[in-house]
Amino acid sequence: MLSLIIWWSGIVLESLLLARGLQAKLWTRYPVFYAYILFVWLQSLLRYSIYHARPQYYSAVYWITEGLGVLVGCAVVFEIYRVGLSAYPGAARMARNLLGFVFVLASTKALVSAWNDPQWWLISTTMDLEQILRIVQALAIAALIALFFFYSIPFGKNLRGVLLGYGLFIVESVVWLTLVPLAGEKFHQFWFQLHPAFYFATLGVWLAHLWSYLPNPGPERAVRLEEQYQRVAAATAQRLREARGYLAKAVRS
Amino acid sequence: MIGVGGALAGAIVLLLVLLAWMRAEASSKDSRSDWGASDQEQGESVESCSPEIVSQIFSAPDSKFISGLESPGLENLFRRERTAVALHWVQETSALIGKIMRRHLEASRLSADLEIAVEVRIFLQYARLKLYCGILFVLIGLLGPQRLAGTALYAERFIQRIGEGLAEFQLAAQLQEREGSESL
Repeated sequence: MLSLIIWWSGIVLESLLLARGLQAKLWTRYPVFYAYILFVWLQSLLRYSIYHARPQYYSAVYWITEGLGVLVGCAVVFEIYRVGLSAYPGAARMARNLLGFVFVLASTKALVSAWNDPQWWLISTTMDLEQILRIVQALAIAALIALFFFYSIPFGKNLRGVLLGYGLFIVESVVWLTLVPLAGEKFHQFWFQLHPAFYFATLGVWLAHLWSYLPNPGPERAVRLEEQYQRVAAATAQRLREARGYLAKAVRS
Repeated sequence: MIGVGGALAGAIVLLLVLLAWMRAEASSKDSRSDWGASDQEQGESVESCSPEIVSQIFSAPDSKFISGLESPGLENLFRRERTAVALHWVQETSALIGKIMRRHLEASRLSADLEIAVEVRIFLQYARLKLYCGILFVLIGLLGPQRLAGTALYAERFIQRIGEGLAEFQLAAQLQEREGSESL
C-alpha cells in the first residue's frame, strides 16, 4: 500500500511540475529539462502499468528506461551549461571543451568495457554503465558549479533549481548504484525507504524553483554597454533637436 | 569498473560543491551589492606600496639602531609596532591580490577568446601569491619582519608587475568595449 502511495505521489508531483512548466511557458526556456521530466513521467506510468499487467517484462522495461533516462540526463547537464553561460562566450567555450572531454572519455571507457565483456547486456553491467555515466554527470555538474562560482556568474532562480535538484538526484543515484550491489538485505530495505524521500526532495526543489519564470541576471558589462548606447542615442537625439531648432531660426530670419 | 571509493568520492565531491555553492549563494544574497561594489572599485587604482616603504618596514638597520640605544622597553615597543605594521602590509597585499584576481575574472568572463591554459596559469600564480602571503604572515609572527626583507620585496615586485599587466589588460578591454559601442 505504502509503495503504491509513493508511486502515485511521484507521478502527481511530476504532473504538477509539467503543468506549471506548460502554464508558465518555462518549457520554452528549458526544453531539454522538460523533455526529461516528460520522459520520467511517461516512464513512471509505463513501469506502473507493466508492473501490474505484465510483471514478467518489468525488469527489461525498467533497465531500458533507466538507460534512456541516463542519456536524457546528460542532455540536461548540457542544457544547464548552455543556459547559464549563454552570455559568457569565453567561459562557455571552456565549459564545452571540458564537458566534451569528460563525456568522450567516459563513453570510450564504457564502450571498451562493454566490448571486452561478452555478456554486457546483463543487469550488473547495465548498472555499471549507469554508474559510470552518473559519476561523469556528477563531476561535470561539480565542474560547472566551480566555473560559475569562480567567474561569479549570477544565477536565476529557475536555473539554480534545475541544477540543485538534478545535483541532489545524481548524488543519491551514485551512492545507490555503488552501495546496493555490495550491501545486504537490511541496507536494501533501508535505502528503499530513503530513495523516495530523496526523489520527493528533488521534485520539491524543482517545484519551488520552477513555479514561475524568472530570467537569469545578465552580465553587468553588457548592461553598461546598453546604458552607454542609450545615453549616446539620447544625446544625439537632443543635439539633432537643437540643430533643427537653429535651422528653423536661421530659415525664419 | 569504477571502484567503490572512486564512486563515493565523486558523489561526496558533488555534494560538497553543492553545499558550498548554496552557502555562498545564501551569504551573497544579503550583500547582493557585489556587482555594485565592483562598480565602485572600478574607479580605484590597483596600487601597492612602493618598494621603498616595504624595505623600510622590513629594514634591519632600523632595528640595529634601536638595539644600539640599549633600552629594552623601547626595543620591545619598536619590535611590536614593526611586526604589527608588517602583518598589516601582508594583509593589505593579500587583499590587493584578491582584488586583482576578482577584476581579472570580471573582465575575462565576458571575453570570447578565453584560453584554459592561460586561465589555469593565472589561477596558479594567484594561488602561489596567496600562499606566499600566508607563509609570510606566519613567519613574521614567528621571526619578526627584519629577517624577511628579501622575501617581502620579492612579493612586492611580483604584485607590482601583475598590477601593471592588469592595467594594460583593462586598457585593452576598455578599447575593445569602446570599439564595440561605436560599432553599435
